[in-house]
Amino acid sequence: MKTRPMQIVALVLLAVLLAGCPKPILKWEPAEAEETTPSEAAAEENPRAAAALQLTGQGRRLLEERKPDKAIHALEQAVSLDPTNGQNYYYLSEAWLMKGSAPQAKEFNHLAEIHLKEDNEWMIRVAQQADRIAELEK
Amino acid sequence: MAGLIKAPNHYSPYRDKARCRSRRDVVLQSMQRNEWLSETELQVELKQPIKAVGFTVSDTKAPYFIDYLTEQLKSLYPPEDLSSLGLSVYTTLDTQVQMAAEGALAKGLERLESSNPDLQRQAPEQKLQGAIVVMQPKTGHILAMVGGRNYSISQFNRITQARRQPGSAFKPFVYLSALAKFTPTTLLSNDPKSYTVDGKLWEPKNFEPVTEYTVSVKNALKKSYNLATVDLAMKIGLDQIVDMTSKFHFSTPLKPYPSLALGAFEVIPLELARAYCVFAAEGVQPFPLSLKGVVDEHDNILEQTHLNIERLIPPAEAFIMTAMLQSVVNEGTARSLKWRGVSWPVAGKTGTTNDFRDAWFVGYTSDILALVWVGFDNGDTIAATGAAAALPIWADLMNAIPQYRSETEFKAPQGVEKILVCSVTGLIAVDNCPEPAEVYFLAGHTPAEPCALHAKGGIAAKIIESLKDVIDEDDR
Repeated sequence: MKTRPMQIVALVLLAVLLAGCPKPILKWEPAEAEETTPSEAAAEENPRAAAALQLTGQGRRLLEERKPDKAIHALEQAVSLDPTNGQNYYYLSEAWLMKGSAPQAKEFNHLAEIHLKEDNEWMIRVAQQADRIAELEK
Repeated sequence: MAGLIKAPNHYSPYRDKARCRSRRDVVLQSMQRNEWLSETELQVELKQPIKAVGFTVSDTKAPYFIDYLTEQLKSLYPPEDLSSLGLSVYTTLDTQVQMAAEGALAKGLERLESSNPDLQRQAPEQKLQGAIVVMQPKTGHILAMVGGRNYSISQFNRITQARRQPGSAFKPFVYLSALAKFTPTTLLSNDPKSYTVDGKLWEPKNFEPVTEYTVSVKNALKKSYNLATVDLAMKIGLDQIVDMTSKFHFSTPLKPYPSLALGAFEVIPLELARAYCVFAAEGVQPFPLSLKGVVDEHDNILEQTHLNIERLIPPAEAFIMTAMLQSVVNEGTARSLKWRGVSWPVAGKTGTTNDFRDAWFVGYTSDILALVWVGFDNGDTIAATGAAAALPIWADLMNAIPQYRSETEFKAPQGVEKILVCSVTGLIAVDNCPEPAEVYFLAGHTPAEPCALHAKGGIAAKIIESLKDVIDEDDR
């Protein structure tokens, strides 16, 4: 099929317009860039934090598999080993969202906000998560 | 032993020696019938008395914690199920922390008794007591619980069942109530005053006479001044303090009397520890957890408890409290921690009640909190302050568990500002201010004016200039 120049322009315009649209915020997508496997050096330096990171990774994978109860179990263990890692609170909030519990999701989102405030990328996710919690509360 | 298996409690020699003997005889006779014993041997053995080895109620690890946990489990399962279903119970207890807590308490109480013979008692049930609870402030996990000195002698759990006056360990909640109107540098009166309570005159006193008749909010907490704290409480309003503290889930009544400010109302130690968690956990209060989950013999999860947290105060207010409680440790009544090997960032508060009946120290880092109480069950004096009796136990405990503390600084959240202020006026420091200090304020609550007293042309500056002139004249 031969494509007309006007069709190409229209497709390009559509692509540009869609690129400018905010991403839908109601669906959680795991971030690819997250590194939750501890290095050997880090594990040696702080074995508790290293073990916590492994559990964080496990919790995230369980969320991807949509197993919130098991994810909560892993993430709570991660929090008890390293309560300073804000990602655990973010994922816990995600798990409670998946279970449909806005009050718990809200408390953990608040903690994630406190602990991740210095990371702009994470703060965007935390803000989007807060929006989704607000949606659930409606 | 063979006879006991059928019903260990029923045939226990500690419960009924005659029944135990009769059961033993049944076993011996059975052995004779099976030709494992001769008739002569049987007759010899039947004449032997029942001898039991030394009695210990339990050799269970962390018995007070197990009792506390059992009470919770009883609300989930009937006792017969708990002993027969082969359930696996997962707890928050950390055996290393528990051992460190038990060791620190035993050593601390022995040290107190040997340094002051008046504290020694002959009767085991009257001996000096102590209790410790260790929590993770952000999760509410109870890592260790020592409810008393010796479980065999007393099963009364002084962490969960005792009601004791907290004394100055309660003061942080008074200061927290003041943060909306007062800053850490607001000046308070530390002058003796009398108050009328229920028609009676009440005259609070400082622990020892002081010459500072005006003192900043921060220094009043740091040095645990009673007069300045009551002055602050009366300025805030006692109802306001009751309103604030009621948020913290104290189950014991707290009434709007001036003595509330000095910790005269009894609290349950676990509830006090939980309340302090709010300062360490960015304003969020966790529910204290001892049970993580219950799993049956086929690995099916029957129960799973989750972190249960509640936002009580803004993170900025929690941080201001932590900053003030850090000054208690760095320069105030708990400064002896430094000499006891505690060199990492710690915030905390000592507490001592009237006539030295209770000694407290509640201290925390950003990831672990421990409360230590020392006293006699009957309220006898222990003749020592919280700093002398409870704080060394806290230090021993924390020094024994280095892997459980991150040793990082408390992080300032959004909504606080650090300003260099004059230590005399509490205003923004200028060049001539003596010993200016960095102080954290809630954003928008910072002092607006530079120090007028030490500014060029100020009274103090003029006096200094005059003195310089006099010295210069003499030199000439």
